[in-house]
Amino acid sequence: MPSLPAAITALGAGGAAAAQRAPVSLAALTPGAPASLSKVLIIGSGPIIIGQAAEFDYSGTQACRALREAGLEVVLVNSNPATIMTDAEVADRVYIEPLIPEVIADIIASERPEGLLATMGGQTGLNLAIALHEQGVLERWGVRVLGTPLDAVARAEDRELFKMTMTALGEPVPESETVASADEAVAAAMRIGLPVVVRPAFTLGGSGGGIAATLDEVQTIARRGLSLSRIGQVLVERSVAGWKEIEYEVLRDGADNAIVVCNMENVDPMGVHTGDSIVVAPSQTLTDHEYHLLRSAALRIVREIGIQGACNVQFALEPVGAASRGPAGPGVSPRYYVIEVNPRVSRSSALASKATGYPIARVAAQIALGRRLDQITNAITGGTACFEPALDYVVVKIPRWPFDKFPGVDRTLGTQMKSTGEAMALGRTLEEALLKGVRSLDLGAIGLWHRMVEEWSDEDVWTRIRTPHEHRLFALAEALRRGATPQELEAASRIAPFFIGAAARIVAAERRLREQGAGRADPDPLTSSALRDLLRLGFDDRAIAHFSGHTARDVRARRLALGLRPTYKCVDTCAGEFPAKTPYYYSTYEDEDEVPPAKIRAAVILGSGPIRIGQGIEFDYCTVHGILALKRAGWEAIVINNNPETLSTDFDISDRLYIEPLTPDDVRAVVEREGAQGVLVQFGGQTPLVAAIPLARGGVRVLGTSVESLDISEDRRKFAALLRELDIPQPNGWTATSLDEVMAIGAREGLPLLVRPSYVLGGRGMVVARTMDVLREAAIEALAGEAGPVLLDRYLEGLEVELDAVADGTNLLVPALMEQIERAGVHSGDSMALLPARSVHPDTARVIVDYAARISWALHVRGFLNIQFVIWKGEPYVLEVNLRASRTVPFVSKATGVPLVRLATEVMLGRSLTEFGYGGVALRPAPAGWAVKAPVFSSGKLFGADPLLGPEMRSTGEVMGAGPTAAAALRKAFVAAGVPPTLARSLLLSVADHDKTEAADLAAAALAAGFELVATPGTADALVAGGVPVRAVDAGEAVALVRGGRIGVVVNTPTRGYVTDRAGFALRRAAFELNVPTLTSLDSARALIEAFAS
Amino acid sequence: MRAVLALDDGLVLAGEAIGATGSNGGEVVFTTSLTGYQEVLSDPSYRGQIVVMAYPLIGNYGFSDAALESARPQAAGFAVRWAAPDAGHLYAGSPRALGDLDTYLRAWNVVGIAGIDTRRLVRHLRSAGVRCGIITTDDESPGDLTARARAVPDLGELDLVAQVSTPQIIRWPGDGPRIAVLDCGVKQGIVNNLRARGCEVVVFPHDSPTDDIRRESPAGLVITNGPGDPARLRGIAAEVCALWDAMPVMGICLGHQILAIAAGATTFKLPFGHHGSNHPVRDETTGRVAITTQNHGYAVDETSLGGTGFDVTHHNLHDQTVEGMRHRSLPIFSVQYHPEGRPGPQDSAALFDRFLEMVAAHA
Repeated sequence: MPSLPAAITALGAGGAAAAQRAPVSLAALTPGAPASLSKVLIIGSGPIIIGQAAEFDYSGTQACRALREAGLEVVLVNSNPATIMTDAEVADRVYIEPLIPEVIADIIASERPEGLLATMGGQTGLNLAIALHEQGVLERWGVRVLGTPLDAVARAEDRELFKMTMTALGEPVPESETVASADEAVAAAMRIGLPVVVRPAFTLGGSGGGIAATLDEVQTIARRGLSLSRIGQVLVERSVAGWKEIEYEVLRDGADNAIVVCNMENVDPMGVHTGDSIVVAPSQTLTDHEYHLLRSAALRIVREIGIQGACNVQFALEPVGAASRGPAGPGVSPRYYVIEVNPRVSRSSALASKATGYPIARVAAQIALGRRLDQITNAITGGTACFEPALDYVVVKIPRWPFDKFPGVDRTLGTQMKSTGEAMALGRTLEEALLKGVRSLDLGAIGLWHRMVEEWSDEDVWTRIRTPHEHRLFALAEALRRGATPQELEAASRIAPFFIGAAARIVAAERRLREQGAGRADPDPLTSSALRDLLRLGFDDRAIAHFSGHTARDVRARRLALGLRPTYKCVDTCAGEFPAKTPYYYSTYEDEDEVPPAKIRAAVILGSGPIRIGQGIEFDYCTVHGILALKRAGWEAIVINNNPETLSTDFDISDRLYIEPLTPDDVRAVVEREGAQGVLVQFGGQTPLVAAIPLARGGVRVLGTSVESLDISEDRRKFAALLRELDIPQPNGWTATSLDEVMAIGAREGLPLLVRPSYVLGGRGMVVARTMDVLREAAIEALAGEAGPVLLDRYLEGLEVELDAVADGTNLLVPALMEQIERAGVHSGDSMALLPARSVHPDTARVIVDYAARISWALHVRGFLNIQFVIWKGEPYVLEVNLRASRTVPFVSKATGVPLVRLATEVMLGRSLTEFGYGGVALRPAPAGWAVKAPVFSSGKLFGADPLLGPEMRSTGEVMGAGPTAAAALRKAFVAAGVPPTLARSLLLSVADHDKTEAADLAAAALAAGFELVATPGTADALVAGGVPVRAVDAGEAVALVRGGRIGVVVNTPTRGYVTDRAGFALRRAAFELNVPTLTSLDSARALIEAFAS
Repeated sequence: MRAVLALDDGLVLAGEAIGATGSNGGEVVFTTSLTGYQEVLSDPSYRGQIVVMAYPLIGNYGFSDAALESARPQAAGFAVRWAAPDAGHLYAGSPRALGDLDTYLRAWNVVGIAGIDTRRLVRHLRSAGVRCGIITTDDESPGDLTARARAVPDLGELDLVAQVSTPQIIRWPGDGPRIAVLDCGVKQGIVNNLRARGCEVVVFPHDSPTDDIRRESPAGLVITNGPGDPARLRGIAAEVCALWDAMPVMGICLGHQILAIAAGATTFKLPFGHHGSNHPVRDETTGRVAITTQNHGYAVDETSLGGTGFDVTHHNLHDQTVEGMRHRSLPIFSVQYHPEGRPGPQDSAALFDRFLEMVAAHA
């Protein structure tokens, strides 16, 4: 038996005690269950990418808990440090390691688990299990796959096998052919008839798929899909675009009991990926006959495939009786097709769990252990888990897209998922759930209105309705405002009339308010019954005020005077039929409120809402730990969040869970209802922080750092003044409100300058201007976007150093300094970070900690403090301060072992760091090893997006690599981020003019490390001049080499960031599509060479 | 227009009127079925009851005559959180379209109420038990409304089966075995299931003399669902008892209770009944669980089945009540739930196959 490679680190407190735990004989529990199972390996899903997000931390963590409750030892592997599942408390042994078969094989060899639970880690987990099976690893070590067997997985996922299985069962599948080349795809499309859907086998979120209306499009999409499919296959399929898309979430146990937890209906008909569709639960427009026609089919399918656990079945159902459709009518059995089966927990199952309260992953894990559904308890009612939840509310899920980060990217929606996150809302009417959902997206919309619609021409509106688009919902409402009829919208969008009707009722209410506000009708629009009707339609004070011309304050005062407050209803899985034991609530305007009074002092923690670039799962990690710390401190922890993917919205994490928008008004209502002592705003990223000031103004107590200090840290001018007062250096900054002003500052102060709009989340709209041309373009861009001035900063190109600290007003705990691999100018969220910082002189480190302490004292920080510095000419300058948890808190916590969130929570509650042994102002001693955080991008999903690093954050997730040396940690992080462990040591260099001098040093280092070099002509000239021999290839040849698989790594630094029609973009794009590691910064390239030096 | 729902225990909820104006009283029950409001409204088992839909959005897909369990709405009243307006156009142009919820109720003079906190009502009924109540568009004081609710007769005092059963024999042609259906309030879905299996179906009035049934020499007998208290139906039970030696018998819902009474067992009233499409039932003979449609306010007392010749075959996983039984020696079985679904799952439709296998074996 090979020993555990030293480089693989097992965290976790489990160790010896856990190893001694007696094996549980499940055979005794259930006949047919795997015998003598004592240790189980669970594979996580790795970094957050589009199509694979926080839902797998939620499901994986639930599974870990269920397995440990059953007395099993759990070994967990995941490369994503920003997950609760990788906490030492969740599993017995935790490996934060690259998710590649080689590494998992080593872990299996060393840990010797008897079972593998592969259905909790998304497509990544499933693909790894299949690879391990194919490589004989599972057989060699006697590891059994628990739950759904791999042959069943293949029947669900292998397109041809799936089709055969369905055909044999008599379930209709769209006419289709599986092909292995683009030419075959075209031939198949000609036989089937256009339009067709082309989708690759075994990919995430439909990567590389699309609808083709021409043979040329078939060819293009097939080529892309083939390169992405794990088995080199794509499916060409008859398109059922426009049909209803319906999903069923099914659980089946080993004794063949099967239930449907929830069905869901996509508001956007077939043709839009369900991850990009507005989804309602339960289905709203299906008759009982249709509902059960598909339900019965789902159960037959799940039985035939052989699922043992959770499964998602998707159908296309022909709309019946829609005006534009054929002769179908009531009584005629509708036609349907089976579209897809996911033989595992999924984003949809996370949504279904939150929508119903039924914990699918937890039950699936118990089924994997051999339990029958009727032997499992429904934790909400204490009754059986073997039933189908009944709802007495409407659930609406709305996706959130990252297009604001990617100028030039195609914002239309299709079969390939593009959204990064989603918000869920519950209401007693569809309108209410819809409007709460829109509020939860945090887009600055008021009801179904957003100021952007004012700039749309009629054509803009209709384009967004005809072709599924990010803003289709707003376009539908705007078209209604401009006089379109619901019938016209149905014909243009093929969205069911029922849903258009909801938008129409909302817009009609807007119109009434406007008319009343203008004094043309009822002089007092805020009568009791009118106001109540609006509230029951989901309007909030702000929307009522906006459309009626009152102030939100007046509307609120009037509402309260009339006794109209939200009531909170319980999500109980049973529509009130049985008493519920879990406190999971949503607001609505009804008679009865079900929230019992708090037993002890309570505080409200605000989550971070939908995942978006810059506000990812890291903040849910912090939210969950905040909740746990609050409970541990003896408080009742109340959480408000609306992201159905996350662990924080699991019903048994907090004492009370509210699925609500995170606007100040919605939060205030909960705080008032609960009589909570205050709110904690430092965990959920920028969203809660932005809510803090209006909350405080509304009389809500913000615990921890004062709102005044938060305001200073968020207000650039006030903060600059504070640093000047403290005599702490910062890059010079200017504010300009016009293009002329920007250009004048550029001319007067010199370049480079950092340009950005004043409203910033995740570095939105930031550009480094090195030339006056770029400055002009960037300024135009920034001025065109959000209202407000353009901010200009002196751009200091130096080493960026970051710290996450906890302060209590006196003491300051700095667990470590991180240095960014990429120089300032690359957004810290997109930069690789090394911990501890190795390039910072101890004297400089002391200065940094001193600055941090002075800032914390000046701002009376009680809680988190995140500071980014740039070291320029040996001097640290403060770039940015955040008085909240930053996205590196999970990474720092895991790399140093310091429980930052817990300490910060205690401090917010008034305790001192001294009580926890962290008194004084200190940088903690460096940890024993090294840790590297590396960003992971989803640009492959967003065609037209440039996979290029810049000051604007674009990564969606991160991985961690740990090792005894910096090089080892770097290598692991690179591998975890997708660089092949057996990287071909051939480097293609194509760099910008200002990088050419430095590129020579890099090239020399690469040669010394054993890399072969080629370079584009300009770069080659510079390298040769610098004394490095290199072969020159022109731009076309460079792309050909990449496409031919001849290049291991591409290093391409761009001259002008966001101008995309350049040869460099073509090169980066080609490399990206073929999964060739592409580095757009010389610093990352240097790190890669260090990591892979032979 | 304003409408009010008042219970006999003083609870008064005000909402908007849907359907007809006027008043109607009945036992107030709730169902948790998410879909199938047409089937619920037209299910004869709801005769004499005011049905509260726990799911808040009702009428979303309009009304058509394809989804009715009987020719008319049977519920005494209908209470919903939200009634979909303008859903009638969904089947525009179809001769089978019956308009939206409001139109349908109005056409049949059923008084309904919308806009009330139905969850509050469900929770109230769950803890207070079923109550009598009224829905009215009359403008009266809460005290008067409560008094009127108290005046609503108890379900056990009403001869509801007689109101819903067919007055004369109805024949449905078929090439297969002739099945007699004793109509205590039969759902169209039961007839359809038999016909789909080729049976010739003869539907008999609930009070048909045994000889009338024998005269048709049916190969099997189905005793159907229906409204009201089974304890009132000793007459039917006696008739059934006289027939069951002669042919295989399947009982559904009320039919199951009638069989139990015929065998000498007793029934009792459940606190708030079982009404929904999500009830788990375990077949104790196989260990398998099926999700079933249920609509009953009474249940068979398991202890009273001792010595009757019947064995309990099915239990409800929620409250362990009897959900099915079979005779030890005779080809007789019955279920408390609805294998025909409508609304609800089709998981147990194979029970009709099982019955026809018994019929075939007996022939």
